[in-house]
Amino acid sequence: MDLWEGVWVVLAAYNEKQSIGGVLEQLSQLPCRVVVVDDGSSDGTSAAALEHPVILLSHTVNLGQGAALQTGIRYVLQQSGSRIIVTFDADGQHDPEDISRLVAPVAAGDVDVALGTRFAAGARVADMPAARRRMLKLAVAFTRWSTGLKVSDTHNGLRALSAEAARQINITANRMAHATEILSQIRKKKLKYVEVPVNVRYTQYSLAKGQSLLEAVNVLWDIFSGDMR
Amino acid sequence: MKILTSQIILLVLMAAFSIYVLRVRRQLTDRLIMLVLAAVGVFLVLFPNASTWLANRIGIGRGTDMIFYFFILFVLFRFVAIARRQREIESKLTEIVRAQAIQNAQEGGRVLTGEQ
Repeated sequence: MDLWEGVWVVLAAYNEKQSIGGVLEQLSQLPCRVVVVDDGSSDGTSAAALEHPVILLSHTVNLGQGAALQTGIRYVLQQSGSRIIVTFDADGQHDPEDISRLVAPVAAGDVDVALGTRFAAGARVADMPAARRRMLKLAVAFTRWSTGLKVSDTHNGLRALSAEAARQINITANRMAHATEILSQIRKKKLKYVEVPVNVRYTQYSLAKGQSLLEAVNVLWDIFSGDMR
Repeated sequence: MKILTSQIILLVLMAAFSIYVLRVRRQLTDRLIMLVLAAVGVFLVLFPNASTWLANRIGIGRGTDMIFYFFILFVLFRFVAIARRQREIESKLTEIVRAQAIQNAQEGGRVLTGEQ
């Protein structure tokens, strides 16, 4: 079977007008379908996305990245022939070249989920500020402890899931706690996973869009207040 | 027994609260809990020493302290209940917005613009 058969890429976008055009331009070079979930943007993200050959789903109000991803995943699962779902960040920090390497082990049936990691041998990370690295390492340590999953990168938006795995993983954490939630569900449902080194490029833009330390407190709140179950 | 101005004010407020509860709250348990609380309030306004008497029975120095402790507990319970309710509402909202987004899926295409 062709590697790319039934592969869908899902992007959650909230006020990403600046970056989404370039990202979609690159993704349109790949032989896969793309779904953009506009999470209630107010900057014309939808219009920018519609210039490209994508399916656009629009949240009328902003719900958060977790909710947007789940909307895209639900849509893809309803499409006939969908086999693999890739989640991809809309801010331009990921490299579309990495998608095939994530899809391969899932397509081969070796694993249910392939997780992108920027903290493993073979990953190239450009221009990551020390503060960001420290915060991510902290998040990794915490998530490894709370989910019991020994992964090297816990907050990487680049993943590939088999349709079957996507059906089993139900993201209920609307905001940023979904990264932890996905991992804890992988553990609970005993899904097979592999980590794949990916390239991450930090720009002024992606850093500004990224999570601050203050946001981390919010995430912890969501996790402990049972926003995810 | 001499009725103080403060007691009149508190009793009127208690009555207003009871009427409000009966008009606004729909759930029977909610109403009952609130009305029992109002009744206890009325009783304590009329017999202020009763709270100290009860507090002493259970090892608390002053009646006001006892009321304060129970008040804190009550507020904490309400806080948790409200937070849970808010989560329920949020997940319902999510389902509605999600269903609508999927229903109104749009297909994009390459649109030729003047830009290169």
